[in-house]
Amino acid sequence: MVLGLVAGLRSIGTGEDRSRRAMLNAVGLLAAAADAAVASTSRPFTWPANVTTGLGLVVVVLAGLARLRLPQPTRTLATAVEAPSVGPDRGSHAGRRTVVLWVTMTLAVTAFELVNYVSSPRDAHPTLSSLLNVLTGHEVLRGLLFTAWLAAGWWMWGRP
Amino acid sequence: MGAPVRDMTLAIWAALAAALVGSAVAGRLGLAGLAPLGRVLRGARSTVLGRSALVICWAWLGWHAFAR
Repeated sequence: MVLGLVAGLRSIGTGEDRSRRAMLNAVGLLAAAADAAVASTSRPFTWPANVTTGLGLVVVVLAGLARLRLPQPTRTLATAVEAPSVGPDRGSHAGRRTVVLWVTMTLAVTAFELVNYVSSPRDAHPTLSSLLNVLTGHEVLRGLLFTAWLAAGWWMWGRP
Repeated sequence: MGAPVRDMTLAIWAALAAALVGSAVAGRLGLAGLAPLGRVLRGARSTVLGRSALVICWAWLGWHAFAR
């Protein structure tokens, strides 16, 4: 099924077959819903959780790679963040500042997560996942969060 | 000793969450010359390095939250 989905997505890249596109979209949505439904009932540190998460991860990445039509990277991240109406010289500082801010915060969260991960006991040093247990411990919320995670993964492979 | 350490850890997590939300709101409102978070993510998506970083973060977050 995964290979068929990826092969179908490759053919969609040519923009020739609308019915096939609709069918693949439906298959993708159904597969995501089924995966999320199973994931909603699974508990962390179990094989069902590993399989449902791993399956979603692999399918999204493979299908995303097939969907991908990356342009030549002629822009830097800082200039890509700028609004088109903003001049390249005026806006580059704001774009750079924004990128630096988010990269810094991402690194801070990652560093603190790692510090807690290697510390014990877990109760005194909660990691992100242990904090998320409040949400992921409930089946419906877990299913919704899993669906949102799949959707976010799919969004990342969209065209710029 | 555990409780004060836990409280401090939770306080730091809360501060980080507030910083993330505050930055997103500031970007949305155009404060301090910051760009909206959506534009940052779309900008990251438009480069190979940025997209790779997004995918790695997404994969790690999903695995950590749902599978461990």
